[in-house]
Amino acid sequence: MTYKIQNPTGARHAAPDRNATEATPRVQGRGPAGLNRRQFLEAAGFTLSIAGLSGCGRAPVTTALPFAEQPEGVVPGRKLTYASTCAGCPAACGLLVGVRDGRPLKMEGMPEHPLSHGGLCAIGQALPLGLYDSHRLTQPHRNGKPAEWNKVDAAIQKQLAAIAERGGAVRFFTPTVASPTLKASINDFLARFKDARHVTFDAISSSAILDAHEKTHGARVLPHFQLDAAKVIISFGADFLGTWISPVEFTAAWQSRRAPTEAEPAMSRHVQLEGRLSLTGANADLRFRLAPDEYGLVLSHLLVKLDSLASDPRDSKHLPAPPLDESVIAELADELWSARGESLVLCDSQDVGTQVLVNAINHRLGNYGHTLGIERPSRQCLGNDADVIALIDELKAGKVAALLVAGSDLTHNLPDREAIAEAVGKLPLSVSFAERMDDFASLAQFVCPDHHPLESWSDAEPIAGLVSLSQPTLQPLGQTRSILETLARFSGRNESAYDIVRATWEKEILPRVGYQPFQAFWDQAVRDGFVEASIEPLTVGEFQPDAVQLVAEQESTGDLTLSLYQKVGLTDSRHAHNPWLQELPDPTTKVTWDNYVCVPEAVALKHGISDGDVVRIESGDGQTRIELPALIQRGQDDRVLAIALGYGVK
Amino acid sequence: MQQRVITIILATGLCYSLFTLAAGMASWRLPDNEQGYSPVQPIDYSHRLHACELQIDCQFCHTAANKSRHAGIPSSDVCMKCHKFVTAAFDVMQEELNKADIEKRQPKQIVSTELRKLYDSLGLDDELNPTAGAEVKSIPWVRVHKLPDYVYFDHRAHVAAGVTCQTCHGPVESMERVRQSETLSMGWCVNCHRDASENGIDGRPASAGTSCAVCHY
Repeated sequence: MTYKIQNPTGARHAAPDRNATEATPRVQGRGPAGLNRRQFLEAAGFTLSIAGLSGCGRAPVTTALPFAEQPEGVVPGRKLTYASTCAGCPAACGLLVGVRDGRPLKMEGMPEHPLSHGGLCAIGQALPLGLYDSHRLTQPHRNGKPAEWNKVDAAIQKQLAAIAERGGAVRFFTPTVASPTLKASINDFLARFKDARHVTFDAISSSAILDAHEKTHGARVLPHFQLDAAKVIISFGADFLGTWISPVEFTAAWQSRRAPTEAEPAMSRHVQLEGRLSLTGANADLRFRLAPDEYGLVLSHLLVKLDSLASDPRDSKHLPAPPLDESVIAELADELWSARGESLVLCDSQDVGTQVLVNAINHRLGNYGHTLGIERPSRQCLGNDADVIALIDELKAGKVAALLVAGSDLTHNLPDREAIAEAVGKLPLSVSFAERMDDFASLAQFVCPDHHPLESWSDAEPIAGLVSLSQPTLQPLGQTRSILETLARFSGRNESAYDIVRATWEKEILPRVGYQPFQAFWDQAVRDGFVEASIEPLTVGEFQPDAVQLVAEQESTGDLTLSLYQKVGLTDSRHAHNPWLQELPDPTTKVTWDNYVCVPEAVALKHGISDGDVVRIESGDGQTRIELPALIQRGQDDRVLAIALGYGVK
Repeated sequence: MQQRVITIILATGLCYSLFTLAAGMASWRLPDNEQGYSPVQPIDYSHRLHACELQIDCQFCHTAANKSRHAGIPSSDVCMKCHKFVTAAFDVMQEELNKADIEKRQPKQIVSTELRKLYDSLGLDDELNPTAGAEVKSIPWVRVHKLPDYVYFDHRAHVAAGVTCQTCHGPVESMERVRQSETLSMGWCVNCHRDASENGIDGRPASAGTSCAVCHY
């Protein structure tokens, strides 16, 4: 960037102006001593500035604060490690928090953790920067002004009582809640109201996978994908090594089959079909460029091929020709068929029909129960798009009496911000639990800031049967309060987060682990960070073949399609304030800090775009537009433009 | 006339400057050299009394010196090992005991003004019982010895090698208020490292590295 210094007269040097000299004779003229002002200052400055030299000051005073009462086992300057759970996203990886002199400083993955196996992603590593962020709220706010907890509590309690009496609608908006205690607290809080609902929203949701399983298996579940059990993995756009559902767990599981040993010399086979170039695609054995709107068509062909291999041919005369070579699809089908029960087809499509096809393929291959755990499902991405759309409609229609938002910035994350912000402004009661004054918090009447995850007790159950604990590693830095405590306070109970989590574990988790003295069980759980608990296996229905519908007509119009994806560091906007994550280069494009649009080479050549050019992208109807710098990305499908989510936080 | 006045003013200024500079030159320091720094501490604690007169070992209070990179400033409860009983100067307490003995009454608890600050940090009253609602807070000691952030110093290795505390910290046992006795400059460190490698420490062989990465990593 170049800066221009404006020179209003246009002259390089201001020419001596006779008139000006005459007007200010004391500045330019000689004084009575034969020294002009400048010469006098030079002489005086030299003589007196030497005195300044001798006064070279001491370094600034720093204090060293020892403990008043030193806890047992603490040695100043030595690191202590606490087992905890990463709260950066609902994947809930095992975390080891390195604490020195009472301050958490360095995060590591927990090697014993059954899912993450010692891995920790960039978000987990960057947790401390969120903790020591000076923009965090340090106390509750009411109508944008700092307030006292007891006054805020009393005001909210009063309003909630009135809403309960007149039967107003209460909505609780969160991203996927991995914590069984928080889930129980929310349900307990909502039970007071006649019309209450917990709306789960994920910026990139797996809603289509859940809905597809409701259609094909009669249960709205997210299967637990077990990549370590798969010999052949075919992924349609699912960036499971980067951002998809539980990337650290999937990386560890995928990795375990990618390092041949004496005992197991064969590697797994990984084929990726995707629109943009993802980290997962870059690591695949075989990669095909395929626009996301053509996944359904290729999956249909794959299913037809597999059905005929299973000697159960399917009627496919209306199926349009595939965008890939027939022989490629036949080869993929053969590879899958030869690894029946040990293969896995994944897809990140948001289309339910496409996900039903994926289920049909996995069912045909007998993968359920082997590489897809459906009886012990995942709880890492349970957002429900239909609920969110219903909530938006209710908000706009003014049907909601109280809206409580935790863990996600409602107005920033949902489209049509202006209309929603206006509706929020008219709500009788709006409460945010945000740690920062985010977009929704600045509109809400009350902000009850939650602790940072490193300051509070919590828990998580990412996969049914694996329950992990999260413990505080320092005293809260501000006057914030755990959401568990705040919800209890709203219901008129005065309980600490520690007691609430302990009570849930005594009541819910202990019976699932088998009887033992609770204190011993609790101590061991806090030390280890997780426990494996038995679960009642989920009973799912028979596979419903009627739900499966092949793609009947060419869906693709041949126009450009937009692929909205998440960055490895930034994911959705909740970590946008974190400078480490902003600075982290994207693993494929190597770009840091700001957003851009990935443009395939063919489109760049056609429109004469080069790297860094600012381009305007408009939706087909011209309603939505955005201007971003372009980045030419080789390996991207010729019809796909890709823009990352998570940017634009004020 | 006017010129002479100005000359006198400037000459006086020059004399004054040189005078103050000369005074400064007597204890000339390079920037970052804090030798002689002896700040006022929140409690008037005397190392001379504790370490010299009472012969308390350094590591009795600075417990982490052989376990951690920091020697550690003792927490308030370490002081309470003794100051639970010693609440004022010995002669003041003795005098009160004698007086109480003569007047045939229970001796009064006498708390010195300096120890009062210690008890305040732990939220204790004059009878050394916890005060209800009192906040327990750290004593804000002023740091005397401070190396720049780009130097990694570890007490453990030095204590284990047999370097005495006084080698770096000077005769602390003679100081009423702690003073930085050495320059703690890089040249000073390297000289000692070279000497230790050649001549050993206290007659025992030692290997003290002098490569950059020994301290800067």
